[in-house]
Amino acid sequence: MPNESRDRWSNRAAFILAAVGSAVGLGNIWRFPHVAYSAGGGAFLIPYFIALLTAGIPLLMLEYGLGHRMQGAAPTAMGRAHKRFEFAGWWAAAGGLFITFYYAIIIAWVVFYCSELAQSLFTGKLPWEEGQAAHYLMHNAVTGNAETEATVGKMSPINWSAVGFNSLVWGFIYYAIRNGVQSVGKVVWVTVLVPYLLLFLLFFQAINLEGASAGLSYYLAPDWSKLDTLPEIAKATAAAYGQVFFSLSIGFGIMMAYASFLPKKSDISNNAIITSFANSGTEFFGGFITFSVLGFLALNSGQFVGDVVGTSSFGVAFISYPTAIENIPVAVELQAAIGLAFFGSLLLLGVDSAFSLVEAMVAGVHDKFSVARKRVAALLCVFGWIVGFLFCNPGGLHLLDAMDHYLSHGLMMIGLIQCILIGWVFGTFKLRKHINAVSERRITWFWEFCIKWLTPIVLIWLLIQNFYEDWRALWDDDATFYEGMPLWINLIGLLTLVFACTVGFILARAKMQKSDYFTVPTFDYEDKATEASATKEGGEA
Amino acid sequence: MTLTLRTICMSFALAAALLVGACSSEEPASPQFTDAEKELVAEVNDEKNALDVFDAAARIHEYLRTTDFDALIKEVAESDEDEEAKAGKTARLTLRKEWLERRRAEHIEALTNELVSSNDASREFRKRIAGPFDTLMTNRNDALRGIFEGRIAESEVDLKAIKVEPKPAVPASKDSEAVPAETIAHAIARTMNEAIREFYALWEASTLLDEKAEQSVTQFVVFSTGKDLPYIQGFKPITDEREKADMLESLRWFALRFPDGYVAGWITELDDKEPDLKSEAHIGNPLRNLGVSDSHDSAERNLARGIVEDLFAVFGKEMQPTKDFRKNLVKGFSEESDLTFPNAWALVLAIFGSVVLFGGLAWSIFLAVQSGRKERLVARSE
Repeated sequence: MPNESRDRWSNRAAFILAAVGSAVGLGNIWRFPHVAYSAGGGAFLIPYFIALLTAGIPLLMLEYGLGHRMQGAAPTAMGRAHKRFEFAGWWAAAGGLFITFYYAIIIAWVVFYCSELAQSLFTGKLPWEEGQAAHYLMHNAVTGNAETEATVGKMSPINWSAVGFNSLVWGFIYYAIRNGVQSVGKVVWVTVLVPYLLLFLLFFQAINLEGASAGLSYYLAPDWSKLDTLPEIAKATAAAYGQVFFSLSIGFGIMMAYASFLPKKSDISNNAIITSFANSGTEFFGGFITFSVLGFLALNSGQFVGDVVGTSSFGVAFISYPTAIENIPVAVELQAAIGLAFFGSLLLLGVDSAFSLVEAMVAGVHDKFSVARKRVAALLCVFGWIVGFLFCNPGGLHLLDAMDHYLSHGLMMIGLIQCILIGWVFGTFKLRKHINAVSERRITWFWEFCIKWLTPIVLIWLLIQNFYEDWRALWDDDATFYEGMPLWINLIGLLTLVFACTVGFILARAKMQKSDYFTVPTFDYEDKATEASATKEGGEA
Repeated sequence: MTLTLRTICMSFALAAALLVGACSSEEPASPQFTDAEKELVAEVNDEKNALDVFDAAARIHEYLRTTDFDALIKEVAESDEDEEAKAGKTARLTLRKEWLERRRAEHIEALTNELVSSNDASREFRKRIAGPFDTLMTNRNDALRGIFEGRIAESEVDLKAIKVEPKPAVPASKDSEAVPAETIAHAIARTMNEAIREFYALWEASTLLDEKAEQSVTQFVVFSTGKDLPYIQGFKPITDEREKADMLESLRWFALRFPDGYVAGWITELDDKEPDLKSEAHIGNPLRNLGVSDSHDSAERNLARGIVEDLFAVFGKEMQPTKDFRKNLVKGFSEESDLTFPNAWALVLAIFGSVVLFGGLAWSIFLAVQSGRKERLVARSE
């Protein structure tokens, strides 16, 4: 029987909202539209849907299924599937935690924008000067100093305003996860549903802007040339799998942790489908807002949409959108309100992803070392806040960028390890049987095929491709390191990834406090035949 | 203002040439300037300002334009006079022409130096030069715009005030077909075209200006293309690359001077009320790339980008002309959108994506709700 004393979600909706909240983050609003536009517009939807069906949903089912079957957070679940794989669960949780260290800073900048825009509601003046959104981002939000440029390796002066807002973010993270799924299950009703409300309002406002249709055409008009040769197809497919993988929060261990708190009879397969479609639907929908605004901005600045999109998805949110806001022909107070709605939705979408990432580690530590979860949560939040100082300075933006780039590769490695563990060690058939036993919707051999063959092959290919792109500059004089940054900062990014992996190994070797830590829980399936099979699985594992 | 050393040297050279000419019995080296020319080549006093120098250059330029020395030389060569007299006359004409051209170049160089070194002079100069031209052209453009918008009937336009004279009808003759009387709109557009060309012609010599000088006279740089505007006379199918380039150049011209796009729109409207984008020859075709997202470096995109940059340079923070230009481009020349509705393919894919994602989500939620209801019923019955 699953552990009866384990916390449970109050209802299915709370779980789904938490999972959707975790999956849907800042990247859904600014990354997907940018990737879609760059990889063929509407034509990109074809590889994207294929990636969603063959990697996104199957991997999410794997994480839900494993977490539920093993009744534990990622380290526990993977350790129970096979002891030697426990490290991968810790690695996933540590990677997620490391990402939160800088993710919280980005959210802190968003809070800064919110606070400034809130003041604009009363002062009747936007925070940034006309046409100065980029300058404002760099000098007011990032460096906090009008005289200081964002510079690689420059660690002073400290941006105290960012430190302050970072404190608020970590405070909220602690508040959300202090009581585990009980508190998360309540918070997500606000942090997930309110942004959707705001996004709907923004959508109707955005599509009515002059030039929105031109922006939407750029977003979705298919560029079939991106799919007409084999190399082009490979490029678009890689972009699609990468997007699906990053956007679904796979490889952080959070989905396993969340699923471990589900009751015995839980529709694992349908939950995964709902989460995946909600996540993809949100990013597809987010593209309508983003590109409507970009179309409007292009028209107003006398440029083409492609020219205002630029090369950075980050810039779309922090530069293009504010620039567009100042051009909307309404009163300044209303401009500020639109900005507040936009940054407010980013803030809420961001925080529920952030606290879910910390929760993955908290749940793992709590499972293995039996430390009170409030204490773990508090310690991790204080630690995260302190590490945040690394990013609250002129060099923080570049450091953040490099770390993000390399930690993202870690996600793919963990995804690959998960596929190997379930596909080749634990056995896809066993997990499939568990999922089918507890779910309304049955999954077929195709899911096994995706986990055993298709997804690992794609992930290996993506890893090789990324490795080649990242380090080509070592032997190719014409190439540069990531974003043209110096070698040393790329090495720091890589070291962060190695450090997360090392933390995984150390925690896996640490002595556990619970004697039944590796004991696979048995399930009292209604179907006797399935029960027998499941018990056998437990013994084998 | 400071005249260059070169100017002074040239003056000495002129004096020396006159002296040598006077002493020589073999060659009529003296240019034998007319009184008007003597006045034109006379030194511009150091105390005079940039505008006076410009006026002097402009007067020389106008004189050279109206006095076609090449034609005069040709006339002499074809005359019945003896060869010696012909050679003498030709040499004098050539000398006169060269002296005038040289003096014009000196003035422009001196002017350039002054404009580069003094912002006040530069500002004053632009105001002075652009003022009358701008007023006239703006009035003409307003009239043209009024006609297109239907606010003014063609007959209501005060043609004298804007100095426009429509060409009368030409009856059919042995050699040519009948030509109908020129419409008022056409006449205004033609006159504007001619005025731009003339304005530029005055500045042909400004090719001597270096890059810095060009920057200092930005407002004139935007008029810096002296090519003809072949399509002002009506739509002509584009048949080769050269014509396409000419068309683009024309568009650039129009768009620069009239960024609200009325003239560019008029080109399209003139002969083809319903632009047929399927036709290879249509004027809109070369610009279709504007709407294709991956054509970042196409000639058309670069052209449009160049126009936008020029508009920024001319109008600064006043975004309306740039915005109007962009809007006109999108509406008139791009298949991406007409600014009221996205392109058809984009709509199809928006619907497709929405059906797959939101349909899939709705169906999954529906199944979840159904299963929840079933569970509740079972629980209740137990």
